[in-house]
Amino acid sequence: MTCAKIQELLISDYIDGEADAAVKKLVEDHLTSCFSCREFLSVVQTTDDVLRQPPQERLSEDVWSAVRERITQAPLGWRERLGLVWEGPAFRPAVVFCASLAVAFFISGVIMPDQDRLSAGMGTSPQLASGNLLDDAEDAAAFADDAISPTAVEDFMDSAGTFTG
Amino acid sequence: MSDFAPDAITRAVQGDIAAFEEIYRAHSRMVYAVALRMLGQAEDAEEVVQDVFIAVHRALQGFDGRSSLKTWIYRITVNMSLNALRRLKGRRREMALPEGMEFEDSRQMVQESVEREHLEDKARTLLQGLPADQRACLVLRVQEGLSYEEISRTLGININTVRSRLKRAREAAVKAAGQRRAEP
Repeated sequence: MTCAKIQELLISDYIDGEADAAVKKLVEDHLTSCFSCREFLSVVQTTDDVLRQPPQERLSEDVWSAVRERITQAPLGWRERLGLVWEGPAFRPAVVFCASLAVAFFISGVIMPDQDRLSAGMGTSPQLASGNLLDDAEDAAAFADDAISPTAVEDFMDSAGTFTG
Repeated sequence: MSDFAPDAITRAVQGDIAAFEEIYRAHSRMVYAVALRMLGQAEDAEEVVQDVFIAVHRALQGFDGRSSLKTWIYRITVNMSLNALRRLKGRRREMALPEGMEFEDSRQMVQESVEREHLEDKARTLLQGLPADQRACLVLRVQEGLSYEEISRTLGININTVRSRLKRAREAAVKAAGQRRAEP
């Protein structure tokens, strides 16, 4: 086998340990008698040794912090996992509409019946006669504590106070 | 490479950040080493490490386990490094000296440091002179110790393509070292 063919094996299958036993023996037999191919192999091995050195730079801990931050900033919720999230432009208005509807139901359910009773005749209401509307207002505020702002509760209390005063 | 618990993938998919950190710790050194060899610059390599693990986190649920997690992460790393190279292509960038070298109060250690830096520079120069596809094969083979079969699976190329890319890469390296090949 010629030196050119041997050197082709030296820079691939032989140095990479991919050569079978027969090819390996062929190359090694050649090397024992060929100085220039031994020298060539030495250069190839030195080059590989240089590349085998692990990089000096150490990976900064900041990288994990950045990865963690990016992951936790945009976690996948169960809706995303199930593909239930619609990210279209109408999503936000839909949320606003639903929230408005919920508030409207709340107001009509808590405030309006009392107003109806008031408009029907203040003297006929036992609650008003005993001043119990304020208690109802406190209950409603406690019930909706998490749902509405403190300012809204105060407004509601004021309006209830006006009726009982 | 450090190890990680067998159920870490399942727990990470369920949103357990500690489990994902185990996966990160087990593979980040390898990802960084490959990216650094591919790109030549620590800051570029760190960006790739971030992008690789964000991609891994997003795609972990779809990981089918047919290839090993390591092979899968190698593939993502090489692809992201190649993408980064394309983005960086054309920019004039000066080679930065290796950062973070710690000088010990010992002449021998200083000497070793200088020698390592010299080797590091040689490796960097050698790799940066190669086409990206050859560089990827050489890094995976020599630095990471992958077999031709593993490189073939990682890069999705024929095993003979792996062989020919490695030949051409080493031909260039030998030539750069001033060694002439025998005439055919």
